Amino acid sequence: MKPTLSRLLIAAAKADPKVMVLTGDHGFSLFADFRRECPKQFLNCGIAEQNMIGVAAGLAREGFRPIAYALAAFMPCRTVEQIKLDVCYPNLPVVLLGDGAGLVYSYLGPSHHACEDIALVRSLPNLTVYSPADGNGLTKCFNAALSASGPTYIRMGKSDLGNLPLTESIGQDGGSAPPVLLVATGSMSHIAHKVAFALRNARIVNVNSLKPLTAPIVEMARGASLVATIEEHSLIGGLGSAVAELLTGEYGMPLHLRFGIPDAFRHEAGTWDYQIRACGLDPESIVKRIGEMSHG
Amino acid sequence: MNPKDIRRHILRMALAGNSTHLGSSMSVVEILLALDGFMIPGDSLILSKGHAAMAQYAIRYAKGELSDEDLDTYLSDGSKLLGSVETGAALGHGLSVGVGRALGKQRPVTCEHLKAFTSQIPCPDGKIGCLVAHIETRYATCGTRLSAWLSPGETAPKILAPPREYSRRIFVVVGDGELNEGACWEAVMTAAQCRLGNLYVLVDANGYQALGATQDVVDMSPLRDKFEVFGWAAQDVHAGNDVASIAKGIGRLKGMNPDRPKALICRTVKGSGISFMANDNNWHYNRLTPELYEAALRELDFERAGDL
Repeated sequence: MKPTLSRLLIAAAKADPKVMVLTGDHGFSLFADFRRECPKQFLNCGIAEQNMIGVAAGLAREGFRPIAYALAAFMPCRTVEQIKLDVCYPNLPVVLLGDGAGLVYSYLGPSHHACEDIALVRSLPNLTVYSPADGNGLTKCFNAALSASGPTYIRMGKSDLGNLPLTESIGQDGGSAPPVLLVATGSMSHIAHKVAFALRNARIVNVNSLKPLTAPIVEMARGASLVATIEEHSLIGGLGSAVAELLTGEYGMPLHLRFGIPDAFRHEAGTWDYQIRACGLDPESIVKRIGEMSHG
Repeated sequence: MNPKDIRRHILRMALAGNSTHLGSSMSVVEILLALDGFMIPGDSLILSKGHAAMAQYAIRYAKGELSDEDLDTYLSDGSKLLGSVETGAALGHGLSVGVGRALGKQRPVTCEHLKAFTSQIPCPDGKIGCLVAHIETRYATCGTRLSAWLSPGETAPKILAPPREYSRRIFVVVGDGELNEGACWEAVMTAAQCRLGNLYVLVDANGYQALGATQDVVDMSPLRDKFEVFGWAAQDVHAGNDVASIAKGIGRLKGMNPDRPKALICRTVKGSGISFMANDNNWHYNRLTPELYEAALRELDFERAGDL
């Protein structure tokens, strides 16, 4: 996703002189090309994320289209009040890019882990929340955000998982049993595809838009044997909670299993794969638990 | 606009809405009046000490932007006038937003903005075009009319870049207690780094915050030195409740280094203008009774009679 992001930013800045990219001293290689090609539209605000959000808001008030970039571990967490009052309350067209979502920075500990960002932003009025799974998804989300009249937070996770397969269902050729509905977002959409192939009878929904949650999940859940939500985010307050909010209050919904990061800090270093497995988010663990619950 | 009338309007709202923050609203009156007299189209104001909302509403009422009904229904159910403006009384936000606005105002503007801005600036030979001569443009040489800046056949606004000293300005009013917030100082540093000479910060330094005197909570003095050390041009105004003194202070700042953001530390009195409120921090939270309201009005009227 990173090379895609660099290209998107440069194209946007060249097309519109009102686009401004702000960073909290992050993005050494990400912004290398941008700084060379559009230097006047780049502002490194330094290690001061709260101020960066206010500056973005002020620029938006003056008719600019600011794009503020930081690690998802710092923005929103460190900057929630600024996002709430400076950006969301006046409904300003600010694009907030949170990078390294989830456990991408797998060696650096909780300071660099973003397992709470969706929970924090979902409850802010006026804020659109996107979570693309690959370069194509990022392009769609980024362009939507840039043309929106209000603010958007885009959560970007592990960047090198390649393009998401386009498969939406497996084993669904006429007359089959109700499938498992896998609802996933970001990196976990890639995992969901592996899970679907192992289950051999599944439908996959890749959620790009977390808020508003536009995917027709209730309709698809009606025909499913079980709904499983999968996210690289705390079990509390993220995609699973958003889907649960939808399914509650609807008659005839199947069992809903939530897969995500347990409510605990990760105290160990390791590869991303190691961290994901430790949280039970690897395909094998997910398939196993679904199997256990399906035979109930 | 008369400071006493503004205070009358504040008292009226405070009684109608049974509201707090009278002390804070009274101390900032002259700062807001001085700014109102100084700002021109294209300039903007942020009242970052948002809990002094009544002062801003009072001035808007005096200008005819708010009605009698607006004042008399202040804070009642469904009232659109809230007890705090801008980012609410969260404090510490206005400086950062001001930095963003100052940056934006230094960047290219559209012809519309430039027209509004330059029409207010007197040129030695009386023509608008002479200012235009100083401004970079992609288009032909300056003319005596602004329409000369558009190429023949073009009607869409074009982007022009004013020199720094002609940038539109942003004025941010903060409280001294508010400067406890670290986010303010992030903004102060960035403002100096970005050479935002069109950013003016006026500090309503009334010496108090919610739970006591600033020197007893977090002593921020000397404020002027703090701004100067961070690379700003700063001035003190010792009579912070005198419009003329503040106006002179802003004028002094205007003449200072165009690359430095500007701070005016105004020594004000919390609860200024009403003898039983002045320097009494209970009036951060105290509410008016009808009796106190009448007593305050009598004081303002008595002073008016004494002026004759």
